[in-house]
Amino acid sequence: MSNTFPLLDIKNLSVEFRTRSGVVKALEDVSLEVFRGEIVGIVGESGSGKSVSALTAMGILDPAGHVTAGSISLGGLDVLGAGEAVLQTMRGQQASMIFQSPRTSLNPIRTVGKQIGDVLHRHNMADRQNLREKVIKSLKTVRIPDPDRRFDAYPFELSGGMCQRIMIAMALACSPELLIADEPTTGLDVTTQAAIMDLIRDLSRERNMATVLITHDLAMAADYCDRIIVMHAGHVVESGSSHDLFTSPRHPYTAKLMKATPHGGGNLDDIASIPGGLPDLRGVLPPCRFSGRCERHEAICDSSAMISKEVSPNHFVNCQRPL
Amino acid sequence: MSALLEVFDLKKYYTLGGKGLSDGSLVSWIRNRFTNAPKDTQVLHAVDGVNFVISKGESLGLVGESGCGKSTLVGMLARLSDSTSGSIKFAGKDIGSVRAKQFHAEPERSELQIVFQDPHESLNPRFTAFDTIAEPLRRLAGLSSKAELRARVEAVATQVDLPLQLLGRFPHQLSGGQKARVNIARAIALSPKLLILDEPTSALDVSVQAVILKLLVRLKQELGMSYLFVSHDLNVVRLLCDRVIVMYLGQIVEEGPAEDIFTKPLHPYTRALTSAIPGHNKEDASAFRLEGDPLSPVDPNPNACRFYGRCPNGSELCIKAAPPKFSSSSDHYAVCHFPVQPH
Repeated sequence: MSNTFPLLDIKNLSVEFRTRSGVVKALEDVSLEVFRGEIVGIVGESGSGKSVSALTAMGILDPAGHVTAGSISLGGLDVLGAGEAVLQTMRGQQASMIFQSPRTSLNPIRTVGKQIGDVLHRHNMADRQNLREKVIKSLKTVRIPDPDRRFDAYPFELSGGMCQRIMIAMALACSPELLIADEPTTGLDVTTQAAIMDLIRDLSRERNMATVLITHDLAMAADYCDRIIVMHAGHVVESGSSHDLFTSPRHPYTAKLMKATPHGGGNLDDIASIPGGLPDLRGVLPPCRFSGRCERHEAICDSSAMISKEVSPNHFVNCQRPL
Repeated sequence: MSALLEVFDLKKYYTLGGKGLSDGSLVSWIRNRFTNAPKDTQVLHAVDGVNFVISKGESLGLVGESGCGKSTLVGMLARLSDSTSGSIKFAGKDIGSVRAKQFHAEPERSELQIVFQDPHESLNPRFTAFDTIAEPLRRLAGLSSKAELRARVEAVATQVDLPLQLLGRFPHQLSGGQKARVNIARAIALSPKLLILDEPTSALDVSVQAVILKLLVRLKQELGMSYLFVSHDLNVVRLLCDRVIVMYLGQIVEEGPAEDIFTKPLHPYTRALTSAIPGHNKEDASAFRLEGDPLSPVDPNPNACRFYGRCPNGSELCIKAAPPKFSSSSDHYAVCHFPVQPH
């Protein structure tokens, strides 16, 4: 995998939000690569910059956000330099995104079939005659039972899991090469969550898509991702294969995050929360934004800039004093 | 252990096609939502004959997917809504016969409290943390002297590790973890005997979840409370609960000690549920995935298993006769014709 070039290549990306109460440094020096055929998880607490990274990659960053440094290349396309017309074609055909709370992402007053049809129509993948047929075909790929009848259903008539399937159908209608799933199963039942994640995994494998899974659930990332990127307060702190990361986390934050996640059996004493909260991203920040919560913090952490160390092949950690 | 809460054959039915919605639109809604809705839609069986007991000092977990009747059941137990039939006994007294609207006048109101889901939504945005915690003390304990009230609120805040300087703040000035503490403080202010916790940690970041869970365990010991713990997060239920009941479409399908439910599930639905927990996902877990949607809770066939159609063990018998109770031990049972055979 690593000998080909990555489909999504984010290099040294920094993003700031200008707000009334100051400049929020939401992302700083974020680099990540996603290759075809792999599922990459981005994990971290809320506010760690997971979604901002994804939105920037899709070219749909909020107008208050400004990219101050870095580059994003998606299949050779310079996302930050491209015009809106190019990006509109890119979104859907090359990259697609699904969001959390599918019910609010769908238009409540149009049938789901028509909404999927809009995507096909916009990208000239279907004409009037075969639109319905193509939409039903895409409903079938996301395993919606009785697709012919569901074409005419409104979002409120469908369950949450079913709505998320519609979102996936919509995202994949034009066979993109990259799928970004932002917390796709938040608010769904555990059985539905498993079914949706199985579906995303199977479709990515079938289509050899690059898939980015944004989640705060480490256990879920471990189950479905080939590689995991851990973010904290706008920094990438660690990245590596799921196996490496779970068997030997090297960044103190990753280790703490794992310790805070309840997993099957065990004892309540075995889990520990992470003290403190995310630092205020508006002020002057230390080179390592985890230093305020870190037990291994020493003088060197405040004096030297963050460096990415390759602790084992393809396992990177941004820490002065890794575990 | 003596029983604190005894629930016997509790039912909640809703008739459909009332005011506001024309019959036709509701029927079509239900048809789309559930695969097998019958033609003459009449009665929705939200909770359908539920029996269980919570002992003193015990924590009982309640799990099941959305729409299975968890919240309806919780509403009835907390005496916020009336049941259709059945009885609820609390410390020996039948509280199910008291109308929900009158329940606030009963002495049991202060002994049976609930922590609502999502502290961001359930705290009154115009109440400071102090007001929120003081409200039950004012209304139910009749504390009126300012000094007494302040002393009691501060004692409760200390109990939940809420810094006293935060008491003057409004919900929007508090973090998620702090709001969760206020929410818990309000519920324990009257030292209840039974605390119903409806998804207490689902809105919290994983980094603060652990402290809140530990707080709940500590409070339970300090105050000698019993818990009814409703949660989607099965890993959390496993950590906190002594026993677990599993609901499916208004009925209890399995009940047993927490460890047994997770390691030796009897009901095929419980197996599907536990094998879907993230982190347990081995490749063979996908064999237990559920297909399709649940059956309709509207006029269900009384002589059929409600899990039929999604159940890998299902056979013709399951739609001919209601499933019997199968016990693997004195405290572990499932309602199923073909329970999972332990390996």
